Amino acid sequence: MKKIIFFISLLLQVYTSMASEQMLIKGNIKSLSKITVSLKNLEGKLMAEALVQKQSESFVFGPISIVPDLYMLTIGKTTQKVFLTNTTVTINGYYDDADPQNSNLEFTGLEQHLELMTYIPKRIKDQVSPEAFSRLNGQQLSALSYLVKVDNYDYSKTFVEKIPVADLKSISAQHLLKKADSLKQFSTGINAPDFSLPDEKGKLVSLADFKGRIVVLDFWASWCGPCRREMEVFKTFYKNYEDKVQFISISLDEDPSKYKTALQEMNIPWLKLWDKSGFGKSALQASYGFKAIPFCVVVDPEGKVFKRNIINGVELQKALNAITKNKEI
Amino acid sequence: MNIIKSKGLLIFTLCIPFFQLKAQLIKNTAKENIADWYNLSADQDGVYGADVNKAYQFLKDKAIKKKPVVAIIGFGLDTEHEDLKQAVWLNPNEKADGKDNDKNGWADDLHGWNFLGNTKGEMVDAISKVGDREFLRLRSKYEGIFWTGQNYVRFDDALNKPVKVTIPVDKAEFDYFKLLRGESQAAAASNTYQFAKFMKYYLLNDFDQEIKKTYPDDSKITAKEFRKIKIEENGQTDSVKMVAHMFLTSFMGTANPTGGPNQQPTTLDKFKENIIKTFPNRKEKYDNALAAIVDGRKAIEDNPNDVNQKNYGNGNLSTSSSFSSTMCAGIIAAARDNQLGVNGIAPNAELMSLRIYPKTGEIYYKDLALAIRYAVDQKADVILLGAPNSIYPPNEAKWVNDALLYASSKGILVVSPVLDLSKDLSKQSFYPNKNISAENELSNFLTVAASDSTGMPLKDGNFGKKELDVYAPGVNVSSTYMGSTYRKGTGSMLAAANVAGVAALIKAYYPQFTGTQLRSLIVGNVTLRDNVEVEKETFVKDRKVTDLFLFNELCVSGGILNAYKAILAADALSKQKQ
Repeated sequence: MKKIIFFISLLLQVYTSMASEQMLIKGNIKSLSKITVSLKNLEGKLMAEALVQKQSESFVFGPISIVPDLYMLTIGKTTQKVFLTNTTVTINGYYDDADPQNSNLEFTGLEQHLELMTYIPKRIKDQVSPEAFSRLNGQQLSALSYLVKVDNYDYSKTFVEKIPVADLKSISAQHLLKKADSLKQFSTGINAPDFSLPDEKGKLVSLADFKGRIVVLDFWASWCGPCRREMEVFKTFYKNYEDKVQFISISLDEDPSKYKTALQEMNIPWLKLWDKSGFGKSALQASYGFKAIPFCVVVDPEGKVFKRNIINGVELQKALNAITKNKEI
Repeated sequence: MNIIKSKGLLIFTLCIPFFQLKAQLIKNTAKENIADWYNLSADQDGVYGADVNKAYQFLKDKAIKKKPVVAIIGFGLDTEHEDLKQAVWLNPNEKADGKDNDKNGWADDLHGWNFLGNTKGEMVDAISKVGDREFLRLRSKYEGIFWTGQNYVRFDDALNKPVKVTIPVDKAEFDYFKLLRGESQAAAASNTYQFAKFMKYYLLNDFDQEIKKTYPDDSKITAKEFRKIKIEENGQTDSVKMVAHMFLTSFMGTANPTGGPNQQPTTLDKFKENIIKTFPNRKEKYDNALAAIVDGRKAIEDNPNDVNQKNYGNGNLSTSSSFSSTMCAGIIAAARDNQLGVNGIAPNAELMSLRIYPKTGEIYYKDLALAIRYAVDQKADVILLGAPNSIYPPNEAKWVNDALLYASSKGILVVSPVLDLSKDLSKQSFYPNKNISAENELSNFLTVAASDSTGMPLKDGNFGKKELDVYAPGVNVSSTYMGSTYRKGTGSMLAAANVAGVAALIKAYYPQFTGTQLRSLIVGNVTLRDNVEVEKETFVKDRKVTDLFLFNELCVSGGILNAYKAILAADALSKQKQ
């Protein structure tokens, strides 16, 4: 007899502890007009909805088990992203549908949301303070990454590294991973995209042809004054690296006559290739991810991008010094 | 004719945040901490409140003798607020039956009245401004008329030239019409447009002919030469011509045909072209300003010019703009010690709500006059007015002043806030105020401005040594807000609510005192700050500056509302009378 009672009470305990780990939103909102309160996930899927009006001011969403993440809470005309976990949230007060800024609502149970909001940088272009990565948990960081501007690969990596694998199933984390992936192409250490382009004589040349050597890719066009100026600067030092480095200038000219004229005018001593699809239309340009020229990339002997975003002779020389000093070729 | 000031207009509208709330998003970062600090006192709590708690310590063994009625003339009221609903006045003579049981001209006026609505129950929240209404009323008489110093002129569009005005012009009303430029964008745009007709005409005719006498070539004349044109004729100056010349010279001096860093000064030929080309813009601006005037009164279906006509509006008091009056109500009568919300000053008061203020636009003085009369007839003890205005049309002023005299005759106290525009009230008046006529000053009229918890006046409150009576807590004060919530606010409106609350408190225990006596008790028994130096914003030659003042230069009482001292004085006075 005793054994059975023990077993049942154990079951009950387990049940209640599971039940408390669900999200619950309890609200009581007074409004002069009928308003709709709803909860959606980041993909816009409706999870719960209630119509709030006089005599019917209270509503409950849940209890439901959710993946801790950002959700979109809509009250009347106002939608806000909220970080929710499997806890109870209360919303009480007054909502003004005509002038939402005159609303007066109080929220409880949103400590984690409020905490992560404090780490949103004041200026959009600033990065998140490093403190966030030690103070916030993985789910909060995932939510934070969704709310800030993540526009370079290394920055996105700092978020991804902190999110435990178990938490990568949230929508914001999925979004972050996709972002990181798309940014990867604009980072260093990745394989430099290959190409097959004609030289002056029309013979097709590929990046792979130079495996084992350092390669400088110099993207330019005949109409680009600064490009031509910098190429004159390259001419002053390229001989110092000639034994280790292959210089390649890739033109993005669309007009063949302009290209030919420029070649005659400039007397470029190194390999010249031509991507005739043109600036802004070239798939090669898209794969290297640049929007302005001059744009130079230094590729290491293994074919990996060593440095990118080089826009003048000074920077190029610095990069070449760095890579040749570290390598023994 | 007076020189037209070409400076920027000051439009006195109630759209200026007369009443400020802390800007809040939909999320709070912490529970709104209740700060009904007007209850505190400087000596006991280190906060320049109105010493209300101290007053209650004194009154703790006394019983109230009447429940005072406070009429709040404002934006309506959230009558269901958890901390206020026990204090809402209920009209003993009305039943919710759709009938005007007491035949006072309003049906189902259970808790007061909403004058901005119609009998179908519709609410009106957007109406025009007083200045616009006055402009529309008077423009057929005075639009486009200017005073030259010798006679009135207007521009005849048919003849395409200035002509003398032949019908007699009422100078007082004409001068009043000119003031509307500062009160109505349509009036200002009209003035600019009408004057531009003169400018264009004189430029192309009189000035052109005059300057060609010396410099025959248009393309060589710049502002330098243009400035020297002789305007006088026979020793007399036509001030319209003179001002036109002044403006044109100034425009010419700053206009240039090329623009950019290597500007060339414009020449007369190009300038004339430019004036002709841009002239239609002024008409367009005027047309747009006219079209922007909202006539919300139509929906109310009454005649706003007939102050005797009632039976309009409805009994719905709560709208989304009712929050400021709801906050005033909380300061006056929120329940005390119910462990909820704020502690009001006189929770035994009954609050009557009279809604005449719209969300956008300015009140009709007809509604104000009728609201005051309503309060008096329904036995209010204290009337709390809303924001005053800078313009007071004479015929409408009479309605309101008569109503105020009526209130005075019945011993009612009228409390008015100032606007928070940093204005010196000895230089500019706002209405209504206690000076209802040159000889007559209302002794039952109290004007209030906001001070903060450190005893300093709100920097941008209006002030006046003789015009402002007393300061009262009005900066970051917590009170009742819509939907049974609580919020902090700042403004002289809240300060005035403090005074109304203290007046109601005195009346509750000493109902024998009239409005005049209440005013004396309040103004004569303040927390004295008179020789304290304070920083205050003011205008010096139309520029807002911060200056130092002594407290007693700013107001009559030289101090801050003090409920405890006022109650002590009331108690002493009551014993004297016996």
